[in-house]
Amino acid sequence: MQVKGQSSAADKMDVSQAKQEHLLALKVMRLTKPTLFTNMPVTCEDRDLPGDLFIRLMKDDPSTVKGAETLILGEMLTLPQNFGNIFLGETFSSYISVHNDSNQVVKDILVKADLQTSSQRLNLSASNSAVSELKPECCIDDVIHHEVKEIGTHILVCAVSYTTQTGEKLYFRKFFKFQVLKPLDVKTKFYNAESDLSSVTDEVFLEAQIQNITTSPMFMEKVSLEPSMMYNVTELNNVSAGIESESTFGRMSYLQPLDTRQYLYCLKPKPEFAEKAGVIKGVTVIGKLDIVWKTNLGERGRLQTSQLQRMAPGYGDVRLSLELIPDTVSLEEPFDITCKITNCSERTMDLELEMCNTRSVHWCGVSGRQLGKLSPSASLSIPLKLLSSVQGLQVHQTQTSSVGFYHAYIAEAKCSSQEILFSSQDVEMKSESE
Amino acid sequence: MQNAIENAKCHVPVTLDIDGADETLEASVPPQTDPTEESIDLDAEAFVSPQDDSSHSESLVDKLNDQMMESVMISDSPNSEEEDVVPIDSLLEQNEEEEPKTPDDADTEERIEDVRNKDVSAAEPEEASGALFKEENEGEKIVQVDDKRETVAPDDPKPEAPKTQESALEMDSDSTPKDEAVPVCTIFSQGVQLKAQALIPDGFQPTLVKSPSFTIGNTETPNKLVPQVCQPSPSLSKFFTDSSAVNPASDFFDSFTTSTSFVSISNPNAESPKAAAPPESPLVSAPTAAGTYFTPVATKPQVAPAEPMNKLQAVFPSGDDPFGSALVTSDLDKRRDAWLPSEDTRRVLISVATQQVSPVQIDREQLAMPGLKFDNLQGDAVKDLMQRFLGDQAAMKRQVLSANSVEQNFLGLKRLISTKNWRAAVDLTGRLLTAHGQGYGKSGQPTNHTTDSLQLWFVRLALLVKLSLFQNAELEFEPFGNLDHPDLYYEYYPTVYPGRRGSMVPFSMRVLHAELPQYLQKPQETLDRLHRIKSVCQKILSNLQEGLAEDGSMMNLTQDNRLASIQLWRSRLSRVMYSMANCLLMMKDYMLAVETYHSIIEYEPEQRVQLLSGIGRIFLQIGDIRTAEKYFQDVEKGCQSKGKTCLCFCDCDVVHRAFVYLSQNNYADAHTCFSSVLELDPKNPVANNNAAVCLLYLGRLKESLGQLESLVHKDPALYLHESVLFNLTTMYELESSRSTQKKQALLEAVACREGDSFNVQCLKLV
Repeated sequence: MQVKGQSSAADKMDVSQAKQEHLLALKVMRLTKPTLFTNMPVTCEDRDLPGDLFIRLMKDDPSTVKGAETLILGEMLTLPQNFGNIFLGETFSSYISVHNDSNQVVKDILVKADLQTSSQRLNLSASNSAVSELKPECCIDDVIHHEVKEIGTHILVCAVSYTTQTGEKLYFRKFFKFQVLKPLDVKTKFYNAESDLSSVTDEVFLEAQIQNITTSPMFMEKVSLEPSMMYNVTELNNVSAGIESESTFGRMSYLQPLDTRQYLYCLKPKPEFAEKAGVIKGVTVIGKLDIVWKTNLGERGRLQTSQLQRMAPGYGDVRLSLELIPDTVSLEEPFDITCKITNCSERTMDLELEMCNTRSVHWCGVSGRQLGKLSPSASLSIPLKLLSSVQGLQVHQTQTSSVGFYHAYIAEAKCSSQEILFSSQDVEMKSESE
Repeated sequence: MQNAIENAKCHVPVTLDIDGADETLEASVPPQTDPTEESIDLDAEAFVSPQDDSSHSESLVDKLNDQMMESVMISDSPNSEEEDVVPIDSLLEQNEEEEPKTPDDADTEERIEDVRNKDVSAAEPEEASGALFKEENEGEKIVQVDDKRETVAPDDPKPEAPKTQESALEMDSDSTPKDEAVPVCTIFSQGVQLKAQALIPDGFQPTLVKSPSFTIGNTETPNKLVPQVCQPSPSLSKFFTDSSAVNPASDFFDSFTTSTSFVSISNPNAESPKAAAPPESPLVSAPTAAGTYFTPVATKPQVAPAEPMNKLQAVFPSGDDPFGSALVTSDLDKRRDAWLPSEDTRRVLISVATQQVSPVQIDREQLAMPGLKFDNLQGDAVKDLMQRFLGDQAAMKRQVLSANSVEQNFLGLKRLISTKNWRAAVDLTGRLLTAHGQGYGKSGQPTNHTTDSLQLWFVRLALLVKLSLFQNAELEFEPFGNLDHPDLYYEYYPTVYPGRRGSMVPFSMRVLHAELPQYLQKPQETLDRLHRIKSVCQKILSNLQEGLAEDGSMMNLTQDNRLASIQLWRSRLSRVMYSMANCLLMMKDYMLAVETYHSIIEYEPEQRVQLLSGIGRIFLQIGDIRTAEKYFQDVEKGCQSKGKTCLCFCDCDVVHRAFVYLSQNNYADAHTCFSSVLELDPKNPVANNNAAVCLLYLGRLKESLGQLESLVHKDPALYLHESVLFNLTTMYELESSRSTQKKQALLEAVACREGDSFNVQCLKLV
């Protein structure tokens, strides 16, 4: 969002017009951070034609680093040379200078700076009291700061009122428009930790993709998840090696323009909420992401996402989980698994087990067996026997179909040699609600 | 003859004046000038006619004030002060309505403004209320002094008065030194006399190059003593103006430059006693023009310098033996010139060396055939600006050295470079190269390279880069390809450089060639080239470490020699790594840049502090303040462990702290830190400038301005610098509506100090 040349034309005009009718001139400059001056080293060796001329010129140049003139990044600060971009979450700072261009003393000067956004109007002036008098060639200076919280058009409205020597009261205003842009693109995705066999944990993983959509590199100072009251959070963005933990992003502490980073968080329900499976259900609030970044010389920005909401996995009335399953099984040899069935409904269930073979996996046992009654929130573990007839790994993920049928899925295994095969199991449950 | 002298006379004052200007720069302003009078003067010039100015105002306004924010619309309604929330849409609409008016209003405004200012300043010349007025006066004073010199000059009896040519009027003028008492001059005036008789008025280009060895003879004498080189003698001028395909100029030129190159030009400091012959040596007083010019022939005095041209030429082709003795390739040369050509090039060079192939048979496509791609571009932007803003009269006072006003040789070139007249220096290299047969339009024509011609190319291209004329540099670099053509190696010229091996292309030119593409948005190309150079450096270093010569040949080097060579090549390697790191930094590949800077420490341990501190600043630039602090602490620890307590290290500690404060938005403490540096080192430009910048962020514009202004006044040599001026002009724009006026005062200050290479953009006048 560069400010165009035309803008300064307008600015100039303001001043002139202000002067035609007004004794005071108002100037506004955005104070982004200064930048470090870079120079352009061109060197030669002693025995080249210019001899020591080039190096002498560089040594005399005040902007070079003494002793290491070939280093382009100097220490000289340069004031911002253009308006630049302003992003949501950054602080808008501006210098407001009211200068007495006339040769008479001006009295009772009141300078007011307001920021008009699409939804509100804020007063940014440091003080609202009038300055009693301003001599010729003197200035009233004010530096305003405002953390921008809205996207879109902002207008800085500067109003100056004063009294001339003749007692005439004068007033003028100037408007400065700028656009606030979005700095980051944040995408989130939830993963339910269903396959954790050690326990039914109800763990939720949050992957947050954060993309830098500005045009300058961004140092991500902090990207944290503030969980809602139901959860504890573990950040999975560090790998601890010994005492010092190392970021999963390596030594790259910053994000180049258009680069995306993935942050991962593990959320565990607090014990009091985890106990009852039915409590976390439907739409739940997980928490919000808090992002702090810095750019040139510590220019800071901070954003928080809105509350992240997650649809708790729909277990429906019955939830089937696997308690025990071997990693590898031998071909055509029966093996045991243990399933756990939980009644998530409010009613008592009468369960019947029906076994459906697939081409590769076969059940050992009687299909259509009654499992008995299961009261609400209760669960039942059932040991089952399976046989695999095909080598390899198969992943079956069947969806919950019509009421009463629950297709569970399982996929587990690793391969090490020919004799070992991967089996995948398919359990089909039939339940009848009473 | 008569003509020539007259010419010279009328030019002398001007030339004197140029040097007068130089002197006044060093000398402080004489107190006797009357400020009142001058400020009137100034005001008259400072304001051009209103129409004139208003025509600028638009473009000026268009490009400037970028940091000023967009002004949406103005409402001057004195009575309507609404507190309520104005719907944005309505504001925007108003804005659109207002905008079309803008230019007109601005125009008329400007006009009115200017008229008013003019009146005011004319009426009250002594107003001098602001610091700026003072500044104008001072600038004026300096100019005024020049004027005095100018008028005094003709009668000035001082014999050391420089005889240089005035630029604008040049072309066919000869400046004959009038003072016959100086021995050197005598010779020249004789030469000129001879020439003048035979001189045909037209078609001369002042391109003549004086012999390098002659130049060397004068290196000890101050510039001012060196007489102006005159026009070519008739026979020579024929040489140089002849543009036939045979290119005799280059043939001739080659022959004479090569003969002296090792002794004098390439090793200006290691000159032989012969070359340093005093001016009164027989060779210099040779009566013919040819003798005067082509003293290289006479680096060995026994070769008759007085021989006429044709004879000289005759001498050259068969001149191997006489020169053979002079061509003792020093170890220094060997080490410096070493390079590893590509396989193809090496094959060609071997076949040339074993005389299987004569250079004539070599495919033209394998040769470097450079030529100027543009001529007489340069000019002086400062003067143009003065003309525009201060009027012709003021612009007249701007005097800088031009290519015409210095000796047409390396010495003159160096003078132009050291006085920061790089544009003129580019012009001069163009002339010297034209004389060498590599002038405008000669690209693609076979030519002979010499040590000198390549040094000239290097200087020219380096200056183009320094002037940010990257496209031009790229264009002229293009015929050189990868700087690996066989004819860029000494082995290609076994008769001219018997026994000499290695690359004629200076190492610095390779680095320059590699660095160039990054300025043209091709940083990857830069990195590729730098990596190629780096691998050659590493190969040479490993050769040396294995006990071989640089190029891998079995050759016994003395221990001293080997160590010196290793040192040289390590420093070259570190130079290449610096370029890489700089390029990576420009590409914003910070991590690789940091890594590369880090690895330089191994090669340049004495730059450790600066490098670590620089890396710290890179992290600050990214915004990673914690890591930056870590590096800053490393620097301090390093300093402490070494027990160094000298001033600069204390400084850097405080400066680091200031930067950290700055990035925490704590401008007050940052300012205190910078100020405390100034207590120890009041002249520290970085601290001065940065303290002023901090003041602005603290809302203390006037103080900040005052500090920068007084710096620029007190020590213009240090503070008339791009970075400081950028800051100063930005603050002028913020301060008042009279910024243009104040900037013009800066322009005047610049005009009497800076050479033609000054980057006028930082004045933000255009």
